[in-house]
Amino acid sequence: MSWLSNLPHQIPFRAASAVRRVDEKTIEGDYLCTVNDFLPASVMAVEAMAQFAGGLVLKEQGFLTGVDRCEVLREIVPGDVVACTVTLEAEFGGTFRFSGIGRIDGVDVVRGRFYLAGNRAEGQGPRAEG
Amino acid sequence: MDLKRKLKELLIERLKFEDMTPEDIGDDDPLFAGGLGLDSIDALEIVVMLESEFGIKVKNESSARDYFRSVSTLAELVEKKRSEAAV
Repeated sequence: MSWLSNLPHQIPFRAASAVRRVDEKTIEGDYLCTVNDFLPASVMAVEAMAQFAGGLVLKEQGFLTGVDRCEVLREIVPGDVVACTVTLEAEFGGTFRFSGIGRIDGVDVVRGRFYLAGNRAEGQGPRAEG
Repeated sequence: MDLKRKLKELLIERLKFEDMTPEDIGDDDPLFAGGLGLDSIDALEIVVMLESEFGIKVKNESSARDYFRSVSTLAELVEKKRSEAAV
């Protein structure tokens, strides 16, 4: 089962395409920008990082409660693959704070801080598989 | 510096209370409902602030509820943890 399988988002709002690596506090995955994207690519990249954050810690549907210090450093265009790294920085009382960086060919193109609210997944690591 | 004033300055800085000064926050003003109107994200930021500035880890929500009532109660928490660390 995918780490993203519990996300409620479906195309065209599913921005997080695939997870490449997960550990206790970090999730890495890709956002693939296409001409069919429903929202501007920079918005989709930010959304992708928020979705990865949800995939890291949430057991079931949660809520994106805040985006802060968000910067888009370079235009993202169809064909770009944005490699996202999202790290859990803090949590308290069902609220989680993450930092996220999106890179194209190793160069930072988008970054920000994200807040989610929801029930934390239990079990091994940040979230139980399956 | 007075601990309560330092806490007020940290709250203003961390929670981005633009146009506010420490004098605008009363020692016993409620931080959440009916007072400064903080929310769950702000509570998380206070937890992060306490850890980064004072080395205090807050994990228990119920105890945090008591200490997060006002600047005075936050100062009590910091003093308590400092005295525990000094023993």
